[in-house]
Amino acid sequence: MEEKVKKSETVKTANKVKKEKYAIKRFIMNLAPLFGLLVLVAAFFIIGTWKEINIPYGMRSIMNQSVVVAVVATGAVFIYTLGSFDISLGASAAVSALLGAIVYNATENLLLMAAACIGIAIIISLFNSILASIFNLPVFVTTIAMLSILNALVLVLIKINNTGAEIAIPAAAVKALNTVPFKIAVLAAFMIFCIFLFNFTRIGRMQKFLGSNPICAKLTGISAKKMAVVAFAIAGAGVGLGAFLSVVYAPTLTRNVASSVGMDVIIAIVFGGMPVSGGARSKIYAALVGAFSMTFLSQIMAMLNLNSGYGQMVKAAIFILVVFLATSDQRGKLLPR
Amino acid sequence: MIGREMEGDYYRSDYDGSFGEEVVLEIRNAQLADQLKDFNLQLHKGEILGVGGLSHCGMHTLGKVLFGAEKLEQGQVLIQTRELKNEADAMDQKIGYVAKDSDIESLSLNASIKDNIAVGGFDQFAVNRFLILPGREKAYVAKQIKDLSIKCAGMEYDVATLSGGNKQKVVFGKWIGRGSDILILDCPTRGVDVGVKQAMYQLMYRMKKEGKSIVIISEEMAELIGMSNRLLVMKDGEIQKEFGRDQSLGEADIIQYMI
Repeated sequence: MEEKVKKSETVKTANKVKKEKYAIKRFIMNLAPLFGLLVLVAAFFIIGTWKEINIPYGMRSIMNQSVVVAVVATGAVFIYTLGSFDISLGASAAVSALLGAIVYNATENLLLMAAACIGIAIIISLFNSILASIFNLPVFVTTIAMLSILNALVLVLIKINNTGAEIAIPAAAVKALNTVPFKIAVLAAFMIFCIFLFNFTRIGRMQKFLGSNPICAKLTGISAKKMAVVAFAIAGAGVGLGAFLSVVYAPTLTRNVASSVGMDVIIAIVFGGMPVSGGARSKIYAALVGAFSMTFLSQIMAMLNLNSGYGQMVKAAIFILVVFLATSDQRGKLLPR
Repeated sequence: MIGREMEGDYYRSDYDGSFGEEVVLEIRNAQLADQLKDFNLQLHKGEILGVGGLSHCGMHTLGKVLFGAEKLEQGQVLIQTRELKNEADAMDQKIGYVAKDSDIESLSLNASIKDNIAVGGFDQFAVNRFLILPGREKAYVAKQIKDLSIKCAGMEYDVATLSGGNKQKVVFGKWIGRGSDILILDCPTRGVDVGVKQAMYQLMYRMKKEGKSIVIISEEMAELIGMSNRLLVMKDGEIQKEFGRDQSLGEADIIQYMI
């Protein structure tokens, strides 16, 4: 009897130690991206002071760039959670922004412009997922086709508008909205909505489980097609908001509008600590941390006079490194579904 | 060998082959490639129906068909006279399914114990089947962990950290927690130690006595003989022989119909 009690106590102690070690490991892994961001922020201030740059101006610039990427990436987390991939997000943002600007020029109504941006982006996103569902293809395949179509559409829209190489709305119309507090408010509202949906509703939890193991999810009554449609609709809403903020920031739109958003979103999500294979460990805040980390990194490289070519290479190298470190225990599961 | 003492019966101890008259799940004239050939089966309330055979006799496909996870080329799966549509429909009708390859088909190894149990019961504890309150979710999962004596350091741990037996208990927790009235168990004790096996057999027997219906699909004849009210032997997608519950039934009696 005494031996039994002793054995039970030993097991309890071992479990406690195991639990603590596990909790510490999780804590460190979760905080690593945030720590990375803090290091970049510190580096920005140190290098900025050393190089005597206008730090408030640099911070405003970082905010303006980060917010668009963060909003789009926040919605895109739902797609990545499924272990899927959308390469057409940037092009979708461009088309939505252009059509939103056209709607504004026709109606002179900012609300209608915002609604057009969001509605069009959701329609494009849904089209991707429904097309994949009809043809029974991995969604990322349809997004590759969509990328070509949308890039062509950008050129067509600019040409149709008959204004030469750009579509512009009056800067005065959006001046009141082109403030950092407004942009942060939009980002915060969308993030809160997504965090709620992701963590506290059946939809979000099913998305995560589906990303963890699609076979098991199917045998637990979760429809991959329905979940893909929901994920792409939410991602579309993020793209639409990002497009609207892009127009607010730069009311003169050229063929290069939001051109880097697509790639920036992919890199930001990974920078932020999102597992490349999606699943249970997916988190919304990865979008926020990643978007700001990436923009701070770009600014730091600009301050060090590294031209954008070198900057892109450094970003690419860090991207590979982050993916390598984050997936060292699950290589082979990385291809998008 | 298992590091603890075993008490009580291993399989069920009675030889009462009776069960309710009500048919709760039925397959009519099912046809599916070479897996099911004009196949008919009825599962009754309070029955443990054993299905045995060689690995490719069609019994594993039968399990999926009964859960709505495989579409028939011809025929129907009926739940209380209504045709079963898919897995979600099966869950709504209180059917649970433990797959043969649990690590792949019944569990998400990189997800937590909590996630794996809770995913089966969202409609049980979520407010309006939508809103998930952490307190309610934890209470739901903690109850399954306690009821099934799942040995884990905490519900937030990945299922991958558990032993084979405890993983299988998590799968059972997923289905039992949501109050499944019908369980389709495909090789439920594969890779499980005898201590956990005994606990599972006793759990199945208890569920049978509560009026639940269970289909056990297994390649282990002793398990089928020990637990079933009726035992069907399958070969090449067809039922070769049906046995009732009988103390004198031995493995050799069954094997001759399997090969």
